[in-house]
Amino acid sequence: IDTKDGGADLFSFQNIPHDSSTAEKGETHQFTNFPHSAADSDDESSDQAKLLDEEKRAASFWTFAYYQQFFDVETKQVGQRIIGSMLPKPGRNYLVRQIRPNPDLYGPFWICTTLVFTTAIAGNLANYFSLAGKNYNWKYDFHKVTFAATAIFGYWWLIPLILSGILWWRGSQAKFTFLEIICVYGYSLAIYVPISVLWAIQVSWLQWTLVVVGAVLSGSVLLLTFWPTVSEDSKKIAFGVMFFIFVMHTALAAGFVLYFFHVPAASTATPIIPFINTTAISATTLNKQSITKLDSGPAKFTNLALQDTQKLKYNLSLPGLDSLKEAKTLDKGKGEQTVNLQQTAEKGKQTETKESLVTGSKTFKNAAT
Amino acid sequence: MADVEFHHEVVEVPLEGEMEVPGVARTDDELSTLDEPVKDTILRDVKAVGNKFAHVLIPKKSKLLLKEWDLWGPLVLCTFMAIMLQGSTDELNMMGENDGGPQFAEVFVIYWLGAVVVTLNIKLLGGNISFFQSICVLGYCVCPLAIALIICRILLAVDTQSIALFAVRFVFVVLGFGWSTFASTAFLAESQPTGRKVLAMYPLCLFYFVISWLIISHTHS
Repeated sequence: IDTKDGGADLFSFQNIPHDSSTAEKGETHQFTNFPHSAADSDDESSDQAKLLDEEKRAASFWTFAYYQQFFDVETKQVGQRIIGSMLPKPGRNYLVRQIRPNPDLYGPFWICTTLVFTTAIAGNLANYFSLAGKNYNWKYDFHKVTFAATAIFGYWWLIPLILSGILWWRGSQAKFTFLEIICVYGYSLAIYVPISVLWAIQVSWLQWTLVVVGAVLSGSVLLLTFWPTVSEDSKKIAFGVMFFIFVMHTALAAGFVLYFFHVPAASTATPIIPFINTTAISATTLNKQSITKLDSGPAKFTNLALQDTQKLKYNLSLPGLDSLKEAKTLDKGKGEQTVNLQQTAEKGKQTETKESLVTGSKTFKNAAT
Repeated sequence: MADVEFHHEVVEVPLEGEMEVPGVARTDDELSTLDEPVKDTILRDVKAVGNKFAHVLIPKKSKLLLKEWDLWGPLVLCTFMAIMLQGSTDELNMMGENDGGPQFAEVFVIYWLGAVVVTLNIKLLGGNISFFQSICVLGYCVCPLAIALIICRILLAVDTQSIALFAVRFVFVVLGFGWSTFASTAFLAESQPTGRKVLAMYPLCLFYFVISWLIISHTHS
């Protein structure tokens, strides 16, 4: 680089007077005028907070982010909430401690869905166990699922709706939001999931014990949760609300047992008296006399030698059914007897007798003649 | 300083080669797929679908299902299972009642609605996966259960049903369930935020469990 005189005007040292005071401090310049953008730390955090708030409010009902806030839970939290819903702790309010920071919809929704399927499946199992082993063509009822779903999801939404309506009407101080109540109710159904599987065991006292255990445990958590808010009110209202909560919770469990799992022989194992096509009847033995196949038409006994009053037994065998037994008493001496076939069907523990669909009578031709 | 001299000379070097402009198809070579025979088009898609089935049945660490998703496989599986699983309603058996099993439409709805709900759950929990990718994976991973259904159907063709046969069917369905769940978690697990993996995978288990129940309780009357 040329540093001759020719470049002197381009590059020369200038004397800049400097303050001795600043030289002592070691600074070259002191800033006195701050522009607006350079906020100090206090302003910064409040600005950030305002920005976050605006962001939250900005997630409108129609965006995906709005719904994401209801699923903001970790696995551990969900586990803790489930366990907390089953163990009543008098000192600590379940809703305030576990749910308040962020109520979620993940737990309640999937607990309800699981419960729908376990009740439907276990109900089918129960039905099967009670009827298997007998010669019964078991069919599984897929439509239990739809009924279970309606009942469970209805309970999950309706009772909190009623409850929050009552609390709002009474001007309760605790200000439980609808979302929090739904969350609590959803988790309270968690205990019924293992119980519903155990309900498949067809022992009546066990089923009802389980109902009591489940209702008491999770019902008491519910009661303890809502008692503080309701107790400020008049005694009547307070006890009324508590009673309502407990009764509905127990009614749900009892309803499950009665609808899905209770298999009284009368209701589900209705004996089926099928339509009997007379041409299909083949009576094999008739008082130790073999008979040919019956013709269709009215049946008449001819030339039967009956001693006094004899019981006439037919073995009607229809393919695919239990054998039907028929007992009829005939008078002796008449050449022609008219018998109305009566079937007594035995299915399970119940016998039902009804008039045959074969009207009139049937002729049994004696092979000997 | 070194002296650099510029010579004004024109050097002629013959240029050779090909020019490639990225993004523009070379008109000489590849025909657009509109001109190819229909058989080629169909075979290409069928091969892609079959490739994905192979990935599901032999779980490898691959991203194929996620990168190139399609819904043909799930549709084929769903239609197949719905046809096989529906109970007989028009053909009354001797009891005069219907089978109690689900209708075709009900199986269809369970399958697709279930896949959509599970996918929504994954997205809401913050999963890093697109909607259709997840449905694609869920649908393809039903394949082992469909195989179990075929085996069950074969076993049901035997005349005399016994406890032993039921036990064999049960074992196959359980195997199918485990395989499906394992395959789908293998594909989907990485895209879930940590700490929520179990929350995202549980609905998958429930979905395949319900389908397994439909299969095991289907008794062809």
